Amino acid sequence: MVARNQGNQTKSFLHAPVVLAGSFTIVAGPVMGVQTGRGFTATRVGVGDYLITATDGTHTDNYQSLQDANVIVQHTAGAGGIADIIAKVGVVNLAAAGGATFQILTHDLTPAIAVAEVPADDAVHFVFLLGNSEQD
Amino acid sequence: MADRNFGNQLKHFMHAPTLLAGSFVIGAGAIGAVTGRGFGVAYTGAGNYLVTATGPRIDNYNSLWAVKLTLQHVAGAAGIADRVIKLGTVTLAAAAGSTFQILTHNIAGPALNEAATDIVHFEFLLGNSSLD
Repeated sequence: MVARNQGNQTKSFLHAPVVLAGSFTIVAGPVMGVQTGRGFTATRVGVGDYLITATDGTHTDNYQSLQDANVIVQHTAGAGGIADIIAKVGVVNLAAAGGATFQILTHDLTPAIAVAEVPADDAVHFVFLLGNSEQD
Repeated sequence: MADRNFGNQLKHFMHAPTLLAGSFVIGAGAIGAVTGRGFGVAYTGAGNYLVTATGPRIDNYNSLWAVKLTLQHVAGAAGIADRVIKLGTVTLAAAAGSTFQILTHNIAGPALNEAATDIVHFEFLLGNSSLD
């Protein structure tokens, strides 16, 4: 653990927004691998098509607004064998019955843009900044 | 300084996570100006950079919760390149401080690749509690 007094808090223009962040790996199969984070469940819908749902099995969360979204592919093997695959945000449904949903798509860049699977053992990281106040 | 009352704090599912954020200029085979605190950055090859959580203390974090990476094309609209940015290997327990490899590569190929004077921006949201 970091031995510092990191007492400075992050402030925002929004009313107490929530950071929903985490990552998941795709492993051979392909199937969903390790998930890191809280407040969501990640599922693999199809090739290069993943769904984040704001539920942890106990709570079902619906947020008021999506203020910021970032998704990125991690190439866990380092510099070698990097693939031309990037991640994008797909359909977002904040009012879904089972909790807000966020589709993440990964696609090929060359030669033709097509939805493509994240290479085995690579990871997808996501950060969603969510409004959780009627004042936003 | 922004003359406002920024009273609203971000809420998290984690226990008091730490935001390690900054940027660095890609020089000609080197690192240029660095902005930020709590880290050092090293050039390890074309399109291959290593952010280490040290400066001057050595920090090891418990978990990596979130990542944002962006490549800034400082020339503006002109001459923009077919280049993307990715996270590489992460070692939170490295002896000299947690390390985060950042890779930039061109699309056609793909091969690690860089453009001098462009800037890499990064944010890592890190768990720093044994409760996480």
